[in-house]
Amino acid sequence: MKDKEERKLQFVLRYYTYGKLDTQKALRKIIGERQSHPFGRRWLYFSGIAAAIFLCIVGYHTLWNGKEPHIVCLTAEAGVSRHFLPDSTLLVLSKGATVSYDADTYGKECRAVNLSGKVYFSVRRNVHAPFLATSNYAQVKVLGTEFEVDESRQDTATRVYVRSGKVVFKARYGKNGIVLTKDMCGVLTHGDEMPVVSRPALPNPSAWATGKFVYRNTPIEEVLKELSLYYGTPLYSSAHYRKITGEFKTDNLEEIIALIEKTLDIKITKESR
Amino acid sequence: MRIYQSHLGMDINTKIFREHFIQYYRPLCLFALHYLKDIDDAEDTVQDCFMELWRRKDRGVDASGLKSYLYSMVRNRCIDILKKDSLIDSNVQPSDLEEILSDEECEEWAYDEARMWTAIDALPEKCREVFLLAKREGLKYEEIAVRLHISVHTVKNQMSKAIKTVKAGVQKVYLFFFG
Repeated sequence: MKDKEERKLQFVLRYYTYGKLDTQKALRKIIGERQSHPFGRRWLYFSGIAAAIFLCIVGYHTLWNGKEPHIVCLTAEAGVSRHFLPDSTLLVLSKGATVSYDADTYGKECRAVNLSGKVYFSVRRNVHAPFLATSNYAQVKVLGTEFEVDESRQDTATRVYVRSGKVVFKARYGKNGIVLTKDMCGVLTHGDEMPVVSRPALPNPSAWATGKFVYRNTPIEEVLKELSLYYGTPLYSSAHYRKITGEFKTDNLEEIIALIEKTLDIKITKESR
Repeated sequence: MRIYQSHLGMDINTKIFREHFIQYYRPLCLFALHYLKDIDDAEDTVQDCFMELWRRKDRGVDASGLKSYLYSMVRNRCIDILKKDSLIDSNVQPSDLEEILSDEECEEWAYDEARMWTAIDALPEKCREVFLLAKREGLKYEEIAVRLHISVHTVKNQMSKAIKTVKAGVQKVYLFFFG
């Protein structure tokens, strides 16, 4: 018992510095900093809102022409764009995708949005107001999670990929759906009553929205297949049967290649056409 | 491993936030110190956690589970920091100067250690100096007397006073806050 006290004291003394761990000072820092500190993030947040508002106005004028004043419509015309809904739910729209919702009822009992194209959602958890994403053919119901709905290939099927959490995926007018959890993918062939579970074709289907490739013991072939498709350049490895674990940002392919080459001590070649 | 609870009811207002901050700031810092072994890193980590809590306090966090929530939050961050630094050793555990501690043990120790810290902080300046020289630097009473130009008798007095205060600080029922 005594020994323990002495050990605790020795631990404290090792790091003790007079004036450190000042509770009051730290408290002032946090409570006082709330206006100024998270400037960077705030800026991003507000710019997101500003962009959303701008798009709302544009969308409102072009699509609804003033007749339906409460519907907010978001469109991504120039490329991937990010928006926050009133409850801080994050949407990432791929090029050409649209999302609309009724600003008056959103968040009251249910958070319903309509979408077309490929959209990634990071839904703020709220047990009292389930999130309902409806596309032309499908409907996905969630409480709070990250997932992607891909209906960009209008003629074939709707794909839903869940990055975390749990969702119910069903045909738009169907009664029953399937439950998808982390890293699961569901496919609804248009005209079918029920979607079916499938394995995601690639390890990171939502890399375009999250900006990250995450690999856990993934075979190098699979990694290169994904990178080839993502960047549109065929990539080949000098060695096979190798596995890689790591996280890469999507912004620079050269850097990813260099890192993999160094880590696995292999050579990766780009096919020159 | 990761524990997140962000959806629980009951708003925590500024008052509850303040109370929790004052009560757990130091213990959490010492808790983090058992992982990170750097006082500034530990303090930064704990402040980041409180900052995050403060930012979303209006969205509601369960006040009754806040303490364990804070501890898991700090633990997760420490583990993240340590894992980022070393890709090879993925088994992160807290330890004191001698051996590895379990998470529960660490939480309990941090609590006692925070009281010791507070007690040392509260000592009069000269008394604290004597105490640190003796306990931390391992100097003999005579050496301290020479260094500080005081008599050995004074050193003895100061030491017994310091030891009493620190011991009392630890044993005392936890009534005062870590101010």
